[in-house]
Amino acid sequence: MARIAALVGRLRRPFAFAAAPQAPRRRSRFARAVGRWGFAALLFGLLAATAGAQSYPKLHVVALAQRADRATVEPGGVFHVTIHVKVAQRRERIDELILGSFENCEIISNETVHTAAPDGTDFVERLTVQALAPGSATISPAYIDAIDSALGKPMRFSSNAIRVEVSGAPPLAGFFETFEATARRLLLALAIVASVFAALFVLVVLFVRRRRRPATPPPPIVTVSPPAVSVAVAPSDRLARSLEAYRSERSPAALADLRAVLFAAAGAAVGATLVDAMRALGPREPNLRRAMLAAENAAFGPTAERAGAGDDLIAAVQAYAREQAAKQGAWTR
Amino acid sequence: MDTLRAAVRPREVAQAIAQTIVGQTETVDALVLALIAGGHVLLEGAPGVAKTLACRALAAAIGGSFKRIQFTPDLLPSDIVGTRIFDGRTSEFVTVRGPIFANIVLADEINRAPAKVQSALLEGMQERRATIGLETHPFPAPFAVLATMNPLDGDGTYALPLAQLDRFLAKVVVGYPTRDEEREILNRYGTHDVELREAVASLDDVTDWQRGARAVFLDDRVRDYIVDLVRATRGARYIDHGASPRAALALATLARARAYLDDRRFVTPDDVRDLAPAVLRHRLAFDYRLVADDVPAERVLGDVIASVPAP
Repeated sequence: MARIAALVGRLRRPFAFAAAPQAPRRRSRFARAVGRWGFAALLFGLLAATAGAQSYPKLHVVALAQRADRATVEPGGVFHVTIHVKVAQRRERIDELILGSFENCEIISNETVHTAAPDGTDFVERLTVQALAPGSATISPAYIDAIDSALGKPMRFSSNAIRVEVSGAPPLAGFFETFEATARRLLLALAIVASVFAALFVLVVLFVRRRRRPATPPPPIVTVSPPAVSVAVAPSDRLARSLEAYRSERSPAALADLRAVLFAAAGAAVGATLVDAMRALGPREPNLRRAMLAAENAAFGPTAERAGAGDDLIAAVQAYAREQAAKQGAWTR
Repeated sequence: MDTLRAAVRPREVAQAIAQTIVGQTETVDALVLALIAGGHVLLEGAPGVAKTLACRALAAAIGGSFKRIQFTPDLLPSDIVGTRIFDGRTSEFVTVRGPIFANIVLADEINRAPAKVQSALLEGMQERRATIGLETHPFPAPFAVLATMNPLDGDGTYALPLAQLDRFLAKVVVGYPTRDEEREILNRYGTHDVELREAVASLDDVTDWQRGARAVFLDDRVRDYIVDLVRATRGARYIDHGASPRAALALATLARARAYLDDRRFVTPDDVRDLAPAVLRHRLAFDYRLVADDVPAERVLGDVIASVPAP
């Protein structure tokens, strides 16, 4: 107890050596006092540093990035900043995320979404930010201070900085431009609607006048050479042509064409598979279903069996064509 | 082709499993397909959707041995593979084989064990043999690992790296049953124990199916379609790393198995397109924009598949 009291007394009077009478002893006391105070300061510093580091959470930050959805914004305009944090741990919150400073802009609102992934947790912080004066808005890097669970050392994980140009007229000046553009669009829309109504009106008038007109003699027959225009091919004609092409030349191209015609007849789009075509067709047209199945066999079946599969295909397509001809009475072959 | 046909068709096994499992047709088909293709399946689904029961029903239907390994954080590789112990009576070390030596191995909640144990299992899956002490022991044939993962409880799990996930032939997402199916489950098992149909096919039948599936014809255009599908995953939007060439091989193998299951001699583009999600979904690494834009991974994969025109 007495030793402790003496030690406390020394600490209270660190420069008490100044009153000591002997010079060599004075140097020794001076050195000891300096050493004592230095040691105490070092100990205090170490304790403070350790306590600070120990207050950090253990985290392994896999990704920390921020980005803005606009590179340029007008003064007073709003843009969004998305901060993505990925940590290797399962976390519900990421309170350790410190946002950077927002210069020439201010945060209006924020929302955080977190998603648990197999390899950790993803946090997406979405900030709605309003730009202030013309110039540039800068957002310094966001950071997380933590003890890296992978390395076991205190680390600062920082993101990138963001710079958004604030240029153009402020919203009040742009208001008139916006108003003008809106009015222009409105006028254009009105003009289009008026044109459509006018066209309809003309058609109705023509139709009524045509019905009221008395029967006129047929115009004289004038023989002219037929114009060189493409004629739309009826589906049955297309099927007949494709079948004929495949029958004359059993090539992969002819087979692909015939298969495409069958799929189109079933109502399937280009690039569809057999299941797509069957689904589009539904339960009707059993002969078309058989023809499509035969086409699948001929197209993708074993090479050695393709001759037989081709014969089956021709027979199935002919059966389907006959059925169609019976329905329409227009089959030419 | 007929010479390669086994006495019992694989569809009969699928039907036998379907008598035990209400609904879950895709899961049952995937298990039978994996068996025919000789691959392993990863089943992901909430607890209680009959993942384990489906695996037990498969093992019973082919009359094979079935072992279940519940993966926990304190599991050791020797708990799976086996070890050598000293026999006091004979004063010799004897080999005790682990539960991996079975025809159907159910690795329940595979992501709950640390990487060392996962590696031991996945190495066995690849090599189809295990070394205990100085001796190497082959696994019984057929051999299939059916691993389950629960997507809901993330705490205390160890994520499987892509390289290990790549060894699974397919990943099947087991969903909840429909309302009618759930009523049927109550009717069927509300007062009775689950009955498994046993030995519908034999292990030799399974070997014959595997041989027969390898003989299924794959046209060059379908082959190109597979390659185009796998290549389309690389560099697609939201995808950081696309599927590997092993995915193309897996897709071709599984498509052959599907054709065989449907009693067809050739693979059609429909086989490839239908199986592509199961083969590709666990082989893709998505980037952070997927989370930022809140886009479902399945939709990204669906878009990639739809972007490749079928032949």
